[in-house]
Amino acid sequence: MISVAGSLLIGLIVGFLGQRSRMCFVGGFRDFLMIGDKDLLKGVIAFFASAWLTIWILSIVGKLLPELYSIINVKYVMYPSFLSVFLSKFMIVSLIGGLGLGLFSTLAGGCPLRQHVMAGQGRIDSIVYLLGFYIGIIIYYVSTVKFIALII
Amino acid sequence: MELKKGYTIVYSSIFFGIIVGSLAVLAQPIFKIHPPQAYGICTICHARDFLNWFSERLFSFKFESAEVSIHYPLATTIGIIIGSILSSKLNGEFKFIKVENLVIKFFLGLAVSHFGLLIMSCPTRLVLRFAFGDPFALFAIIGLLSGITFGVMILKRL
Repeated sequence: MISVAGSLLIGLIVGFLGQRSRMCFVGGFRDFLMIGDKDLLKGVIAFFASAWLTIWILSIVGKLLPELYSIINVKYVMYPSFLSVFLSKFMIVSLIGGLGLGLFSTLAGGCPLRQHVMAGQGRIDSIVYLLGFYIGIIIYYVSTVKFIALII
Repeated sequence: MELKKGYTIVYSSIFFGIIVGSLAVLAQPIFKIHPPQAYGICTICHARDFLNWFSERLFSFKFESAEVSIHYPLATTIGIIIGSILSSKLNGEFKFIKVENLVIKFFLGLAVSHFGLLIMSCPTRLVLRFAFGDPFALFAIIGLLSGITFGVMILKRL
């Protein structure tokens, strides 16, 4: 029950700040390539740096207070090393997925977070985008996932 | 970090990055959003969990869901839309704007959700997974940057 309230609170903060600051994760690199504007790129780098710093601080606090370690430690899954996954199947799937994500998000005008914020502002084209987004989830699990299981 | 521009208050994007970045990591110990790791904020995954929760109870059609949202769904996407409506109404920027090319936007939304579900993250969660040290997120970010480059090349030719 606390996860519902917490996620709603995070969504409210992200929506509020995202509308005031015009922030977009795909737009960071897109603006840098098209116009040379580094304003959104600084936001993406600040997000990455803040997340990385928070993980580091929490792991240090977890080592200093061992009785709280199971609650505070956020990084509990051991990922495989970089070279051992170098040419595996999921790496190629990740490359292709990222490519499609970047290409179609730029053509649509923003990453999905920005489209949610623009739909809240009242833009009709983002509301139609969101309709396609949610219907696409259902279409993926009805038919496309069996199609992909044949290829991979 | 508040800059006054005329009569509206605009926050800088660095302020957004600092607050949302730390909140997305702190959501794991505080709000217990944790059996999938790095799950604090993601538009496509939480939307899929939300649809799965309703579809399982209304139509008994169950697709994939994360462990954390089996009992109660995660309401992040609803919060983003409500927060944006609130902020734009307070700002005076809430206006219904109609643009052409609505059919193209519908199919673009379809395509983005397919590619996002293939790698199980949206562009926001990719940066978060990269901060957690996931090696697959690095390859996906390389693909994302090349996809953005192709998109910019197409937009410049039009």
